Amino acid sequence: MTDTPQDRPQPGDRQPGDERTVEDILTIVAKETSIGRDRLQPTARIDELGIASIDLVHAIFALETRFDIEIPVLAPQSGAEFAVVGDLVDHVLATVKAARKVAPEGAGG
Amino acid sequence: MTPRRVAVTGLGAISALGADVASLWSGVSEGLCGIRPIASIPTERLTVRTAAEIRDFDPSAHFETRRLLGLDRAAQLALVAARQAMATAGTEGLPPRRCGVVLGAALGQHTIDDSYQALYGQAAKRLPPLTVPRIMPSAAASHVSIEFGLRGPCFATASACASATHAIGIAFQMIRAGMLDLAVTGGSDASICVGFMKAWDALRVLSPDMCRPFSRDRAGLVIGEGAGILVLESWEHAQARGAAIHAELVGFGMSADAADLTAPNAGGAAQAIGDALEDAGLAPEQVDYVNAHGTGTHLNDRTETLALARVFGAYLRRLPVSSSKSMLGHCLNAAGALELIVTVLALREGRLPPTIGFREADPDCDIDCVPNRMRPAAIEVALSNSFAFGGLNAVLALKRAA
Repeated sequence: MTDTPQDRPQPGDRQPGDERTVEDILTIVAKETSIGRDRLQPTARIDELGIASIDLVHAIFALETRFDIEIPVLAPQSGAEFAVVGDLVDHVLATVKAARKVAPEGAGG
Repeated sequence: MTPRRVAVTGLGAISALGADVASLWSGVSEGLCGIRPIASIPTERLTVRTAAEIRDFDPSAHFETRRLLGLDRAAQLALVAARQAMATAGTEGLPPRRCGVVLGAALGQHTIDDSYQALYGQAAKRLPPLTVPRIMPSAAASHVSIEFGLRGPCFATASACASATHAIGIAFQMIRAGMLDLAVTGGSDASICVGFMKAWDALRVLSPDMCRPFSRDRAGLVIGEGAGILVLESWEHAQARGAAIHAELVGFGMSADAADLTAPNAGGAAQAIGDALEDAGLAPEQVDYVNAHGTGTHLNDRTETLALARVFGAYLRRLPVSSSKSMLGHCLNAAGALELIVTVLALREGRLPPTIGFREADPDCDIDCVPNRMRPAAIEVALSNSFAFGGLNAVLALKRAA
């Protein structure tokens, strides 16, 4: 799959069924960054939460593994460049949904 | 200015003979062999299936799960040994920048092997984020400095199988020169992986069973793993705090053969031995014991004997020379550190460690290799030799603490 900016998944409106995925994402981020789940609010700034950059990298690795997706290291929306928790969640959710469109759930490993 | 004296005040070891210095020394004293069939990795594809592995090592007993993400086995072993060594050493009263770490380079071999296996064998899409800092050969040194808050010079030395000896020698020189008051030094190695063992297979120097240094029927070396860490302190600081001093480091010699990538060279080795003696201000006849490089290959043991004969002449007939690799295997980047610890203990305890597995005298290795049984001997001065591939030689001289 190519990865030009126009192909990049964009955060869309939340749909029914997304809540479970969002919860999965936040659970993984909380575990990998040792930040309490309740503090991971959509508007919370990642730098202000005190998340070490390497912990965010661990979280992205765990998300990629869990959802079998690629989160490319490309500006502007990658790695440490997610500003608030919501950016990260939206991006992962959109990527997960895009991947499911290509390979519907249950078809992949 | 008179050079400062350097005391060995801390010892830590983990090897095939056990997870501490006490088991290393009791094993060596009893002539136990740490070489056994390989149990930690699949061996179907290996020609040689013996090694001196550390048994029953549970990383989670020593490190939190999260921290293990960044720790290759080599760094784990280094930290376990460093904790032991630091338990008896004292940094009190020393500014952190006067305390350094110099370890032999220890590549994250297991991480490399696992990564390639995942990537090429299982078509893994990604590798764990800390793969790079686990692999870097200076990782163990960094972990030691981080764990103990030592802020002086910290780096790793690379000279293949002499790496730990070079590290200890440089740490010794830095303390002697007044650059440091305390150094954590030595080396660790964890290279018993399928890929690296296959690479050793290709060199055709591995013994299929035992390591029998200086024995006429010797068949090659056996790979081992482990870590040996020493704490060196300036003599004044060690004395001022009433530290137990295990031995005194008195000399360091190093040289390059500038000859062959794999074949050892008696001239280069003799030069390093001679330089260590000169550095220590010792005459050859003052040496009471040599812990040999003694790999158990035909070429090394014959060449090392020649080198010793060049330095010690007729006196070599009366000089005990033994190889701890017969018990510990060849621990590669850690070998010089574990062997120096054995040498320190030989001085402290007044016992010569044996060369085990010895069956038949070899006219080309006409030395007293302390065959098969430990021998009591009150000794004052000892050397530890390391001669690496690429012709890199390093020799340390020790005196009994007095």
